Amino acid sequence: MVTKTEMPVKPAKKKIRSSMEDKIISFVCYSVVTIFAIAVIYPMLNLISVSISSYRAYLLRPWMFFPTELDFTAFATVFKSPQLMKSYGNTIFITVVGTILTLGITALTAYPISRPQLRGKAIYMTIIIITMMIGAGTIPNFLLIRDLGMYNTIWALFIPSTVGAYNVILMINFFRGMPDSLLEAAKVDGASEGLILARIVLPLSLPIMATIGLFRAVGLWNSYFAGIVYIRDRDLWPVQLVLREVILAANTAMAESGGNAAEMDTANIPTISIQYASLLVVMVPIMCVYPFLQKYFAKGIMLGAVKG
Amino acid sequence: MKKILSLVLVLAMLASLPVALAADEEPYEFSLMINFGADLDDAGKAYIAMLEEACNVKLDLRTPAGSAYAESLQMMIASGDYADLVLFPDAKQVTLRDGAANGLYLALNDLLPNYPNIMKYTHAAAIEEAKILKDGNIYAVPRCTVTRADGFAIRQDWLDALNITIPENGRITTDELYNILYAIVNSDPDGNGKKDTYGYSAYTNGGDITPQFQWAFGLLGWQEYDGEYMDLMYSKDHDNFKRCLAFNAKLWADGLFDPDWPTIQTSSVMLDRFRSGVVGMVGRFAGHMIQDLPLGQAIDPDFDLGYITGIVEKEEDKDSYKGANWATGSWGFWGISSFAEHPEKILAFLDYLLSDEGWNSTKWGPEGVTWKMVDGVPTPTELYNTNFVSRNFARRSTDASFFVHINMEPDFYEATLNRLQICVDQNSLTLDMGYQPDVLQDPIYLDYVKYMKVEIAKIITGARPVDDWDEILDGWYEAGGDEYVAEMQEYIASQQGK
Repeated sequence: MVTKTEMPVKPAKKKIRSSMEDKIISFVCYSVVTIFAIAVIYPMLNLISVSISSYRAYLLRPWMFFPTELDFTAFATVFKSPQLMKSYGNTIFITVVGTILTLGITALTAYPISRPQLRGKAIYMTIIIITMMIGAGTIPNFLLIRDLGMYNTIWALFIPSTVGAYNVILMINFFRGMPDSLLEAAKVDGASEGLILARIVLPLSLPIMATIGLFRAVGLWNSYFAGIVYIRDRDLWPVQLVLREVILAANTAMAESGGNAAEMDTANIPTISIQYASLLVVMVPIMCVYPFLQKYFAKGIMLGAVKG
Repeated sequence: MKKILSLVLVLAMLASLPVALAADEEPYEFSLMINFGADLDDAGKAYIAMLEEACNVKLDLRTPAGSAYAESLQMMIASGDYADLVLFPDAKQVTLRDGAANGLYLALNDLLPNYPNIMKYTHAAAIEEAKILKDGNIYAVPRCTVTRADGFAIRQDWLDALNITIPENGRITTDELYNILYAIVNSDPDGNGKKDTYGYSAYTNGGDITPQFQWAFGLLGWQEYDGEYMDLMYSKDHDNFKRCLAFNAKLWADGLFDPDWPTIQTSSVMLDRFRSGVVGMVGRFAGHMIQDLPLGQAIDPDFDLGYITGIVEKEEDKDSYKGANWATGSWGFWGISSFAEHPEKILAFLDYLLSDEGWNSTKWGPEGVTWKMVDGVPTPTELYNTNFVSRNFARRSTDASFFVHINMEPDFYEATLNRLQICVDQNSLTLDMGYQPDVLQDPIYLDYVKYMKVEIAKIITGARPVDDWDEILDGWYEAGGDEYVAEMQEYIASQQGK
């Protein structure tokens, strides 16, 4: 007798019915998040739309979501501005060189301190932490930069802030979290400390390097105050200072005129389209960098909070 | 032999003469710090080159960020890298005061009278204001402007549509103003079938809303009334300020003000609303109306502008209307460093800007670059509209034509000049000379002033009744206002020689 082999039957999926309460909560959550998303996205949409619309279209509909009467004159004006382009170059130089310098010197500072055999660690850590607590202020810093011969040079815009105590501490903690066996194995094989740092530690430190590098790059890209304090020549201005001039032109004119209309240099107040185009031109590059570092950033952001 | 030697020596002396002459003609190099809002363009560079040649100077121009000029002045002092000639935005700048007190900036009493154009075209009150330390010494050269009591730009095409006429001299009463604004709001002046036009707009300049049309109610700052010096805003014996508040409150309650006014922080936003046809009237300097026409006509081809020069309470006051927009007519002060090698050459440079020889270039920019003479008529070039450098260096205190442009249509030129002259003639200086009494440093007084401004805004918007002003004023006196009045009266009396 042949018995029929019955095919196994998958048990019917149990539908999880959500209660009315769950549905309401989901609805509320989605609604709130959507409203927040719109509140965040709308200013960007408006910024982009106004920058590529005519001034007339802006006057008619300043709150526009999408561009009307396409007009790229604002961008043409921005890119033709020699000062903006020169300052762009300054900022790219400051950001790239400054970030590389920060990562290099911070790593060189943090690694020896993270090694258990270094003597006098407590003294070094105390010195580093003191710099977090006490700041001299703008004028003493200015006098120091002047005395070091960096006044009115591009170096003043990133060298003074190269090594930050917080970054050093972050990196020390990260290096301490590396397995000792790995480093000892390298030592046993005859590797020097420098080789260990360069060939083993740093390649494994991509999360912390990306985190510190991203923060540093964004900080350098956005900095303008150092330009106000340390720079005299407009050719050395960072792009954010130029942008600040563009955006605050109306307020500056008002302050300088003492509120009197004829004394306001209104001819030099850029139109809203030019202001917005300038904003976009300055924002876009740094926004493009972030996606490449995002996966490292997500890991690295928690590094300071978790002790290995 | 002796004759040959003598000849050789004479020839040697003659050979050195060009060198000696060249040494005398060497341009004097000095540094100049000024707050231009933008980088020098071609017209600006040409103007600087022209000035250098005309005055035989070499300018080391320092133009820090305009948005951080005050910080830049402090950095200049801290750095010790003093500019020879520095423009300070006003006489109250701490850097100027401290610099004068420490001998960084020269006292110019002996030098200034030697420069006739500076003396002729500078307000006497501004020179008094330049005695910053009140020790009789003039520590800076005032940069003056033409003092005016500006009026209001209004949509002339809307007035035409509403059959409303403004007198030739631009003077109207508060009742007429109310009717005009009412018509703009309620009678569809733009003919689009919608009630979407507001009457009057203003801006807060980053603060609170303040009462508009104060001059209509005789609020002219510190003046003399019946032998006493007073600002009628603070007078318990006069109700001018209350009447002004009441008028503003009525305009607000009847929807004749731009409802966005409390959120409009800068004049740019206010002007955008005016040009785009949202509002019909704004406070406006007549010389700038030329900027509004093309922008407004891009939205509405019928966009046209009229000008109200003054608003009075009563019809019989129209001819005697006065406004008071200035204390001294100064618009910045030039400090000359005591380290400058030749301060007399710096003064000569400033004098040139106001001289007959240099005045056209100051007004219109460098000849041949921003303008040129064509058959004896100054004619603008393409670069004329972008010229700003020369116009920020100096102004003659008496010349209203500075503000009318050679690229204006002849009719508009004449109309603008006429309006400007009316505004110049109707201005009276306040007596306070920009003086700030010590009580202004008192935190309690300052806190109350902040509170007072908020309460004024509440009265205008109807959140508080106008009669509450009496109580608010009493509080101001208790918070230090009595000291304020006493100090101001004492100061003004001393300036008036009483």
